Amino acid sequence: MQTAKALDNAPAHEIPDGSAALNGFKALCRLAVWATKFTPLVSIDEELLSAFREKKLPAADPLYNGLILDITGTSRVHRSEETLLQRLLHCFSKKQITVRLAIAPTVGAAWALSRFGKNQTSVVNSRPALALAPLPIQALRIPQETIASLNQLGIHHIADLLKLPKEKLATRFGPLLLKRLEQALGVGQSPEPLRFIHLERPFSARRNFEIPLNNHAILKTALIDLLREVMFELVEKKKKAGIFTIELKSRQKNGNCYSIKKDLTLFQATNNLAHLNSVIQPIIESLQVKEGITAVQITARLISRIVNAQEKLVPHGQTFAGQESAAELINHLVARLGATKVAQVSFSASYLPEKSFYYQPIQEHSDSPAVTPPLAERPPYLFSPPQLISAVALLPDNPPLQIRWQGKLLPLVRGFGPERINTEWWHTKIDNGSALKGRDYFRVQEQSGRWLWVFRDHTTLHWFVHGVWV
Amino acid sequence: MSATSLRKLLEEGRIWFAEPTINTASASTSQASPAYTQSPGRLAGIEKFLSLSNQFRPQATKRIVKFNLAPLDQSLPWGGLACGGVHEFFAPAGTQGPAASLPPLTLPTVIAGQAFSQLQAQMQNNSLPSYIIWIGRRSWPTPFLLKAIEQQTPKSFSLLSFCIFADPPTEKLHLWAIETALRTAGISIIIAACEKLSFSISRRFALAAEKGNSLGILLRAAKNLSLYPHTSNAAVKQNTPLNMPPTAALTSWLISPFPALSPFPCWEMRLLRCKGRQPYNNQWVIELQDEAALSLHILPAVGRKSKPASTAVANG
Repeated sequence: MQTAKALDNAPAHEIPDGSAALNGFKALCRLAVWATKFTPLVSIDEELLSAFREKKLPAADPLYNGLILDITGTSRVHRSEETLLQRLLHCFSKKQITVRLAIAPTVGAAWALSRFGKNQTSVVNSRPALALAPLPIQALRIPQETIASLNQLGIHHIADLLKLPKEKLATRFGPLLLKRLEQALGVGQSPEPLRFIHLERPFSARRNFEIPLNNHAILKTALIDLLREVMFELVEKKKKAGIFTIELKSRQKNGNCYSIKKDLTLFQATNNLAHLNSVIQPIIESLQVKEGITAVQITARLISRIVNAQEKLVPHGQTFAGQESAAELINHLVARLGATKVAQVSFSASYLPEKSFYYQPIQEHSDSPAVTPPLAERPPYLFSPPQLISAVALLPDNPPLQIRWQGKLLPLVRGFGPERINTEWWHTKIDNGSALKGRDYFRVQEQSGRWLWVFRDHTTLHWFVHGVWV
Repeated sequence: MSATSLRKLLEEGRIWFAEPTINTASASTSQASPAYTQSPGRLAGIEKFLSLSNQFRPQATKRIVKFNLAPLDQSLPWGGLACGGVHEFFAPAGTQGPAASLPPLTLPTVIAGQAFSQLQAQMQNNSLPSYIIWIGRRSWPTPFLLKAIEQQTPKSFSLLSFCIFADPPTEKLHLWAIETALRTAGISIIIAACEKLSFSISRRFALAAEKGNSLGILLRAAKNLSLYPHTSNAAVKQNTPLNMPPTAALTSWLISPFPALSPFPCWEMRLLRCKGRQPYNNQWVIELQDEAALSLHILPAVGRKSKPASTAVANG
């Protein structure tokens, strides 16, 4: 979600998926979000952002794949710049990412030192000109043409460039070179504005308890209070949330901390407090307070905007359950029965009747591909698994004349069939040499008039009842 | 009973009121409907009482769902199944053997599918999404039948995407889910398998359905339902079961497999109970043709109860 926000900050029109450059950019965005733990001001390289905006990511120079962290004023947290560097190195090595780091008074100097510095980490406290002098001119973030023309003149290092009179640089090599040089050295009138990623505060509310809490009633009150806080914030910002997470933190007697998390996933996002209160009730009741609880937190996730929120013209004093919409009912059912117990059905491409459809939890349900299995002569009730019977038939291809099912002998009046249903060839294991793996289905009628759907399995030659018309 | 029907009954002279002060002179003049002509004030009082009592229970306009089978529709006072109530479908009683306790699925599913398309057509102006919800694993029909119904509906909408299947883990939650779903306005049809149902629970369901104006279909396998006669009236004797459980459902039906000579599955559908009407001779044999197009047909009463030849084997 936060990555999405970081992406959102860079105004993208369309994000084509799948390209390596884009994936790299996304990963960098995630890394930028992660890096906010060191300083709140993190930005992605401006060149890379503009390449992303213009949809020229693959053409962007990999040199620009970097993050810029503004650590002004964080020295009290990190003690010294060297400790910060060590900490960063440690964290990145934990993530198995090789990095080059530099701390400098200007963005340009830090950029140059991190790309072209001798060591993996470097710190420049003052006078960046000294540190920059031995670096090649590529470190100045200038286009390839300028580099080529400078090289033609025998200028290979920044030190050579510094010897030239500044006034003539702009006229001979364009304004960008002078701008970059001044930005790197921190002199002149070339400020470097940075676009920091902006993270929204998550919609959450937390309450800490001084004395560990054991009382379920108090916990319930606290949770409902927190829920109200979160909801108030959501309504204020015209947002609604699809997932609510309740987190309980507690400390055991031996000092170990642990936390319990419970998710309430809604079928439709909401910011209706009354509805959510009743939906979350069974979840709150199912929370078990064993150890003393030291803190509770409710976080709202899967935030979406409210498209059209009109205040009710006539306020209702009392809301009946009958006024709930269907989505709210589904939320109720999911919360109380469990997410897997409320389902929708989809067809899948299989010849076997029991495999040609499947039930999917309603929140994960997506429209199935347009597969239509044969519908005629399919019973409304299928036994799962098919029930083993013994049958008597005149010929292998004839419908059975009588069956013994659950120890009861059932004479059959008549039957239709066979309808041969084969397993898909990629599912058959040809182990004993016979390629015939399928079933012969018959529709047979009992004396009472009830119709059964029986089949003979070709592999085992056993008879089964698979369905019944009830 | 509404005031208009009461007035009608009074006009027809089918009910009278005991009047403490009857004027002998006027009594001799009025013959056809003495009560109505003599006591308009009293009738006004009754009308006022009825209108007051109606305020406490607002009567929703009942939506009617047709079977599209004329004799069945005509046998019901509403001209079809009324929404805002619960209808029960019983499996045959007293049958033994394997899988005998399954609730009836086919006919209620077909009826519900037809009903859903009718309701959807009625609700065109309404933007509320309407769903059909199946509560209880035993009430879930295979999607083949639903898909076949979907293909039959005149307006091509995806019935399956409006179907929700819920499987409450406990009996208590099962009843809760049914009641809540019935009360929800956005759910138009609720189909639930219900084995044991006390009168109070069925009354709760009826009230919830009335509030949500939804069509509740309860699939019941009544093991103890027996059809023994208990009165001397021949028609009632034939139709009213002795120990039918008390219920607040609008209608109760019995669906039992019927040994017809048809190559398609046939059931005998019997109207056991109907609110506001005595069920007389209400038995039909209904055939489900599902070969090319899914449709219900009423078979003629000829050949009823005649067992087909026991050895006939037709090879399809």
